[in-house]
Formats: sequence, structure tokens, C-alpha cells
Amino acid sequence: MEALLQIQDLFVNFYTYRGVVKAINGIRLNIRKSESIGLVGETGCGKSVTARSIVKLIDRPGVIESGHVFFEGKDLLALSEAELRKVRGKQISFIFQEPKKALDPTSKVGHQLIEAIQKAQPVSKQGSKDMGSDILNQVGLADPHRIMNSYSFELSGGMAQRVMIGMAICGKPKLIIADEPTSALDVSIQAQIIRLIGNLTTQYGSSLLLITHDLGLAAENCDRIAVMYAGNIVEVGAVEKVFSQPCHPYTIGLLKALPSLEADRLFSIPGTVPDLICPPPGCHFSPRCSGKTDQCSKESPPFKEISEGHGVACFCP
Amino acid sequence: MLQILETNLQSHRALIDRWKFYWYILWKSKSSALGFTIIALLLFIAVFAPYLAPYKPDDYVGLRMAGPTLDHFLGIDHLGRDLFSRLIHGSRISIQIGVLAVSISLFMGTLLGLVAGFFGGNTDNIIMRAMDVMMALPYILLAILIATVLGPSLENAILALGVVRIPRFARLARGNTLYVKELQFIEASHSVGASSLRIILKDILPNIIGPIIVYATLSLGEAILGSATLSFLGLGAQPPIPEWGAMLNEAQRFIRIAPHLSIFPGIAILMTVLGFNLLGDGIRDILDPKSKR
Repeated sequence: MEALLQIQDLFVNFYTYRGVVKAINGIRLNIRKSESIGLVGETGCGKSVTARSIVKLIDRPGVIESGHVFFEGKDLLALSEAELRKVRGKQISFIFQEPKKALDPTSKVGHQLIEAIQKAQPVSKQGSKDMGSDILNQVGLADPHRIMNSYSFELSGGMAQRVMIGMAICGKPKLIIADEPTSALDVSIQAQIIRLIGNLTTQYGSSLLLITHDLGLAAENCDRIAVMYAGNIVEVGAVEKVFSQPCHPYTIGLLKALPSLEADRLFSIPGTVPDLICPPPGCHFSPRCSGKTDQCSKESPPFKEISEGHGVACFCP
Repeated sequence: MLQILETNLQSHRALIDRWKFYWYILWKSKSSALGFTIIALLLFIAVFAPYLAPYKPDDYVGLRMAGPTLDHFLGIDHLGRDLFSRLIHGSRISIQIGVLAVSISLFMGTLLGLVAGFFGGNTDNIIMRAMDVMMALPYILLAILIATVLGPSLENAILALGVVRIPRFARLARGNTLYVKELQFIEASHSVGASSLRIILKDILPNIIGPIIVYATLSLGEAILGSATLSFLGLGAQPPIPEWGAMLNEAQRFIRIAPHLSIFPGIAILMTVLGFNLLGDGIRDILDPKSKR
């Protein structure tokens, strides 16, 4: 299948007072047209940084050191700020973790939505108002007029996230990046919101990059899954493959650590996440790995395909 | 359609309710109510000055330096002009000075602060170090310097008073910009491809304007006081303009024989500055409900 977005050898560093944090170490990832891909990993492994790097939303002290992000043939990282602005929102849009913080508290929700619509396509004021109501209906908000006349603090978290989703899809983007869209929400609404994002992306034929640390969420809603550890993608593959035949020891550990009804003690991967200022030599996971060899702590393992569409970065999968 | 009408009506009602609420807060505290009353009265006097003043400000009406009488109940100045009428006309000048000077500092200061805070780095350094240099001098000295260089006149005094307060507004705007620009909705704005200009004007400015408005109200009083100071020193309004500070300047020569010529303009200045300060506090309570003492 054709790739919509190709991330190639991306390196991102953060220059802090303590030292240089090597947040992303040469990531490669392809996102195909109208597929949904889950990017999973624990807090601080670089999921969000990867997503923001795609449209160069990295601010000081973060610096994109090298790499390419090809989106429909052009390298986004080589574009000027003005050209990038045309891509953001229109072709690649974001859904953030905390919807109420992602809305401007001083202007009405409808105003912000209409602006997003007008930015995405040339429509009249009345036309954009009608479109705004339509979109709010589509994201499952009854009484769109009241919502449009409200401020963000007058909405509940779930409502605000629906509005954000509406703003994200209004330009019919080719890629939607959802950065932990349900983490700040009530468990009871999480499923609804995720299903809504899924339905709308299918309806508009958009691709979805779903960032989450919830493996179950990714398993249910994604076609493919990419597992990140300490700034590297360690395993990529179709959801069924990765879950049934995990190859990287980290993925295996993660899956074992899922709570189940049978086990009485929860499994946990020994050790802690490495400090990315001075990461361990070789494979970043080697200090915690049970099956490590001498090679593991000397060289970093290349990413290789072990079966059709299933790749892993490990010497001895 | 009916539904749209209804929601419009509802939001309209909510707006009215909000103003009612502001009104309530303003009147709840005695000091801000007093400030509001003084300023409302001052504005009324300034607007209707020609109708309220019994005489023209420059007309010779009677015995020089006569004390208060029934006809001239604040007395007559050293050139035979009615002091009450001059004070009333002076209120127009004071308000003009306050509004114009503060507008200059508000506009320039907020602009510089927004730019410095938003872009950071060297832009920030250059702008804010220049502001620091201006802040290092006592602002009245700086105003005297500017007014002297430009030449004594009312316009130049306004300009000087406007310029010297720019750094304060710039600092206030920059500090709040630094805070607001890190909030997530700014990042969300970036992610939909908003330009820097748009983010500064439409996302950051409305979020930082509250404290700036409060500070501007408080500055009005200080600007009027500053102009009185400049005029007193002969650097501001020139006679025969009935500016309160200029009136004080002329009156000081006769303070022993006609103290009323100094006392009444002094009271006018005092009341105005007091009024703006109290009103400013009241507006702060409205704009920042969390700062309740």
C-alpha cells in the first residue's frame, strides 16, 4: 500500500541545563493511506515528540537534528514556516490530550471552530457557521447553537474533546494525530471518544496516528502498532501479529505486564527507563533484557523485517 | 430558526447578567464605589464644562485674588479670573492628558512586551534591556528630561509622560505573555497553522489584557499627577491654559496672601488621582475574581 507519511532517520535532541537529552534516536516509521496506526510506549519514551516533529512543532530547547518526514512526496522538515502553516491543520491536524486546555479560554468555542473552518477552506461567514453546526452534530453534540455560544470552561471534558475533534476534522485532513486523546477524560467517555475518532477517520479516509500508553486501546482501534522505547521504535507490525507473536523483549514484557484475571501478581519489567542524557551503550533496552548477549551492549541493533510487515529492532528476536 | 433566536436571546441575557454582576462587584466595596463616583462626576464635569462653568476661563470677572464669595465661591485668581470656572475647564485638560499619555504607554508598552515575550531570545533581550535602562531613571526625571528637550508645551508633556511609562506596560505584558504562550491552546493554535501575528493578537493579547487594563486605570491618575508636576515646573501646559498644575505654579507666588489659589487646584488633583486609583482597584476585582483579599 502507498505510504502517506514516511519518517526517516529522525533525530531530536533537547538541550537542557543537565545535558543533551537524546529524545529521538533515528526513528523510521511509515504511515499508509487511510490506515490507523498506534504508537505505544511508556511516558517519556518520545511518542509526543515524534508526533510534534512531524509538523516541526518542536520549540527550544528541542532541536530536530536530522532526518526527513516525507508527506506525499515533499519533505516537511525542509519546508519554510509559511509553507508548513499550510500543511498544519489542513492536511495534518492534531487532537490533544487535554481538550479544555487546548481551547482558548477568552473566545467562544463557536468562534474558534469557525476560524478553523475558514482557515481550512474558503467559505462565507454564514456558510462556515452552518458547517460548524453540522460538524458539531457529526461529533455527537446535540444543540450545537448553545455549544457554539459557550466558552471552553462551560463545557465538560468530553464535550470539549468532541469540539476539538470537530476542529481537527473540519479541514478533511489526510492525517490526524491524536496525542493521548482520552487520557484526561472519564473512563466512561473514553470508548465513545475513541470510537468517534475511528468513525470519522474512516468516513473522511484520513490516516490516524494514535498515541497512547494503553495497549488495549491501540489493539482495538488500530490496524498497525509501533512500540517505542527510549527514543527508538523497537517493534512495528500489524496489531494481530504484534500481540500474538511479539518479538522484541520489551513488547513481550509489556504484554505480560497487562493485568489479567488469572495471575495474582502483576508482572513488571525489571529495572527502570534509562536516562536519555547518557543512554546505555548498544541497545537501549539491554540493561533490562533477560536474553541479552555481549553484542547487545556494544552495538545498537538494526531494524529488520522478520515477516511480512512485521519489523523488530533486536539481535535475537 | 426559533432555536437560534432563543440561544441568541439566552446569550444576550447572559451578557446583561454579566454586566449586572460587574456592577454589583463595583458597588459592593465602598472604596471602588467612591472611586467610580468621583470619576463619573469628573467625566460629567469635563463633558459639560462650558455649561457648568459660570464664567469663561479667561474672562476678567472681578477683584484680583479675592477670597471665596457667593458669586465666585472658590474665589478669584491673580489675574481676576474665576477659579471655579477655571478648575471646571481644567478637568477637560486633565482627562485629555491622562487618556492620551496612557494610550501611548499602553499601546507601545503592550506591543513591545508581546513581541519580547513571544519571540524571546535576542529580541527579548534587546527590548527588555532598553526598557531596563528607562526604568533605571526615576520616571519623573526622565519625563522632565524629555519635556525639556522637546520644549515646554502641553503636547510635549503628554508625549513625555506617555513615553516614560512604556517600560512598565512592557514588563507587565511580557511577563504575562511568557506565561500564556506556554499554555496548550497556543500549541493547538500552532498545530492548526496559525501565524505568529495571529497567535499574538488573537490568542495571547485577549488573555493578558486584564491586568494591563487595571494598570492603565491606575496609570491615569499618575499621568495626571505627572502632568501637574511638569506644569508646576513650567514644562507642561503654558498659561493661560487652565491646567491644574500650571494653576498651582502661578499660585505659589501668592501662597501667603491668597492660599485658596493653591488649595483648590490641589484638591482637584488629589480627588482625581484618588478616584482613578480606587476605580482601578475596583476594576481589578472585576477582572480577576481570584484576587479577593
